[in-house]
Amino acid sequence: MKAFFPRIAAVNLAGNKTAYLPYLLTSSVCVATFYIMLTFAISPEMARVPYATGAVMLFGFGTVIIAIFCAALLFYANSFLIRRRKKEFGLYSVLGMEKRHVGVVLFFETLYTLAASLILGLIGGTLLSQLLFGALSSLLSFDVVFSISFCDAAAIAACILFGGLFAVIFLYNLLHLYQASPVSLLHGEQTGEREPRASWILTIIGLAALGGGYTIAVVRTNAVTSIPDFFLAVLLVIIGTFCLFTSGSIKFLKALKRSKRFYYKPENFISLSGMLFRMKRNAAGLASICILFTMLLVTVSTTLCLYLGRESSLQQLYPTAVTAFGEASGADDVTEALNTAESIAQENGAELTRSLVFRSGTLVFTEQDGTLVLTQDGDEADHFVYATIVPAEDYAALSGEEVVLEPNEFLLASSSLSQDTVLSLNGTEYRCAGEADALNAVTQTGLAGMDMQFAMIVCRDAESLLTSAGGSLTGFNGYFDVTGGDEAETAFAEAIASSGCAFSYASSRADVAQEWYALYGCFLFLGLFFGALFLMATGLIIYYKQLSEGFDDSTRFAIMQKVGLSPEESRRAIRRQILLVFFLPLAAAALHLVFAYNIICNILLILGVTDRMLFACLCAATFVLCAAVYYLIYRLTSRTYSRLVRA
Amino acid sequence: MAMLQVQHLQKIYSTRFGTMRVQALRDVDFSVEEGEFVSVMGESGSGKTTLLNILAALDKPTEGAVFLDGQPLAGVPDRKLSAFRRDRLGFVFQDFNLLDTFTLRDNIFLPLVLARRPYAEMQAKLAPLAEMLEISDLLDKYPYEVSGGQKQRAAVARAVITNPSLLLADEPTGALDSRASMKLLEMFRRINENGQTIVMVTHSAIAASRSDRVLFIKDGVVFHELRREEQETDDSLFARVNEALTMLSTGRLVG
Ligand SMILES: Nc1ncnc2c1ncn2[C@@H]1O[C@H](COP(=O)(O)OP(=O)(O)OP(=O)(O)O)[C@@H](O)[C@H]1O
Ligand SMILES: [Mg+2]
Repeated sequence: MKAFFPRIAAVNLAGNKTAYLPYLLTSSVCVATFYIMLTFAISPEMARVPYATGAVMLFGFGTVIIAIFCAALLFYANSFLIRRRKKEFGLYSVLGMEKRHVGVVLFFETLYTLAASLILGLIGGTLLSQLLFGALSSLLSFDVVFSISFCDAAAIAACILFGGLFAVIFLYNLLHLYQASPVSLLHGEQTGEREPRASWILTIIGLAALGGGYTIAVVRTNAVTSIPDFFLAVLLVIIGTFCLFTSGSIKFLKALKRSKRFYYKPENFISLSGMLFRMKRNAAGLASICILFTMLLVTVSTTLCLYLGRESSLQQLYPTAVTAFGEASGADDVTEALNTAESIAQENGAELTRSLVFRSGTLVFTEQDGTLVLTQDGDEADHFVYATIVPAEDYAALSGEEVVLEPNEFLLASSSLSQDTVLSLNGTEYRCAGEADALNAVTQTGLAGMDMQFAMIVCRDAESLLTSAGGSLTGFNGYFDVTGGDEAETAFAEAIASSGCAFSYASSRADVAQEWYALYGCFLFLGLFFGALFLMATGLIIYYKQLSEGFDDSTRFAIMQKVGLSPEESRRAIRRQILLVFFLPLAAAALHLVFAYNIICNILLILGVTDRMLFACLCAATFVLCAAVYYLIYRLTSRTYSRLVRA
Repeated sequence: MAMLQVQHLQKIYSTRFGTMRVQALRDVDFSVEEGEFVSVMGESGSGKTTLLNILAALDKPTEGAVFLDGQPLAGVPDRKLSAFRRDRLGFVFQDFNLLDTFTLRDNIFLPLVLARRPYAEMQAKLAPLAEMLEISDLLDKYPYEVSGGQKQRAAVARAVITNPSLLLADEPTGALDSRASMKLLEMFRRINENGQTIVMVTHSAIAASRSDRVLFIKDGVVFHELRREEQETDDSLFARVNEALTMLSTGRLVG
């Protein structure tokens, strides 16, 4: 007798396996992902990976996000399951089982699910972490391949987190059970089957939010504020999506219904009324699918783009093997620094193949129709040009050319500004007299039409020009290429920073590259990892949607077949309904991505990726791939639906 | 020739593995003339629903045949069965079987929509029907917003809106209280007076006494039959039905 409740619980789980198996699978995957992420964040092996500090921090951050995401996902799945089972609970009460007893059964069910997911999740997580560590190693191009061992701290953390989560879920279910009367439990499934009312306010809010989000994403070209802009746009689009899916869709369906000729066709009649009725519950699910799918697309394509563009962005940041900075006090610094560099190279037995050393000062201009005017405080950060002013004598020295410039002329090196650019400063117009070829290699890339452009401007009397514009000629830059490989470059950088010349800071590309690649590799890893998680969540939501709709529709279709709907017609109606539900979130996600394209490009630009084409291609490829997987999930789950409906 | 002819119907249900066999109908044989209103009575489990399902082509008999207007039901190919049922037969269920996702109007339109009739025609057909069944004011409500009797009247409207040759009803008053039952039976009579042929299964002697003829089924055969005499009142027929039922249950009546 003592084992009565545990046994009932086991029987219940087995009996509800169409609904519980995916739940168990999801919670196991949640446990596994959490464990893996945390292992990567805290395991001692990870700490021994060279240059992984930044990456490890990312994993820590990822762990937190996964924990939140898992909690939301499990709650969603649970609310679905509980709604399904309300009737069963009601029946128990009517049959004379006390709520207390139902609670005990629920407790055992929760316990079993928790235990099973922890066991499965931790075993799976341990195995998978080996595999993923290998993948990560190759992504990060570590040479050392070692395996990662079982991390008991991460396992304990997973037990605590998911134990807590399941406890909260259990309490939530218990609360529902105790609040409801048996009759309302018995009819629990039918509630919500009222015709939904669409509110104009929600529709308008939705339209406004979506419009606002899209406008921000497209119109704002300001790279500096693009990250906060992006999050604002994301927020607005999420709000807009939810409002429009819940309210706008109902408005739309009702409008369709009003057209008698359209509505009273067998195909439309059945699916339209069915959709309309369940839109309220459906809409949130569809909106979630749409948002998740958009996140999936953005995450995967962006991280992939960052990873593939890592070389070029590093090249951007470090145009030469060694980059050095310092503070300039006079023209002599240049010769002194050059001599120092030469002697250091000689001491190390290396050869200096390139050395660009010059003083500089920075001014920020605003571009207006080809004319650069000094940016005033409080100007909107639009069409900014970050200009590095280089004295003509320094340029002459580094290029080895004779520089002949009139007082109101300058040389220009910029990837985006044209040679017709005019500089207007203190009432004087400066004209461009040619290209500063020698500086092209070290000019940062900007994009025309964007607010973030870069220019190197060589002019006579740079010092007085800078002073008159509120700047100063105190910047000191050095770009060097040395022979002898990575080690020689690093040694050179270290030596020149501590040589006592005007350079106070120097770093070699080789040195940075390791960390840089590690970081970007981790970005990609995280992106793919989250992508997989999003895809799984999407799959789960779709599955549960199909399941609940299948249950609801099976009675509907049974009645209609009695009234004279042929099996073939009902199959067609079912397919139509499924297709609509399938394409709506996908189409919306694609639309979101199209509008997000511009602003994501801006963000990528800040991160050093200038190749817009690459990103566009990656977006398209990611979309096609994810849509294919999505379709596959859909096909699999719609089989469940059809089986339920035709039964 | 009779509109509906039922010849030597036999129905044997066997369980999935064929171990258990239930003979629901043994040898049912009767016919219904055009414009007739026939009731079928019998104890629970006597095979009434089974019979009706076979008449509605929802189920197939093990032996025997059903002819509707001289056409054998068995001759209708499977893929035309739905359309056949939709166009030629109307069915009223005990538990209404209205769809919660449709208003009463759309529920009634359902068979016409499936038959791809134009909207104007549907409207034209519905108006007098709704008037007669007294549901004109309820057409835009949903099933969960109206009473059981109103639901059943809507279900009747759905069954007859296609002008079926035969209206079949399986205990249409089973889920209704006596007042709603009386009202529904009143509707059935009106429809019948308009020329509609009706076969109704019922447990209630009152319901049966509204029809022209009462068939009693027992042990899978038509055991007894009562016919309304010329000018006979409902009350008189009711008394005879009750008498027959008592005799049936005490086993003193022999076919
Ligand atoms: N699908 C089935 N499989 C097996 N046996 C069945 C099936 N449907 C009905 N039966 C059996 O056939 C017999 C007749 O059933 P039927 O439903 O026709 O009775 P009924 O006269 O409509 O009864 P009630 O008045 O209770 O509705 C019963 O013994 C029943 O158990
Ligand atoms: Mg029956």
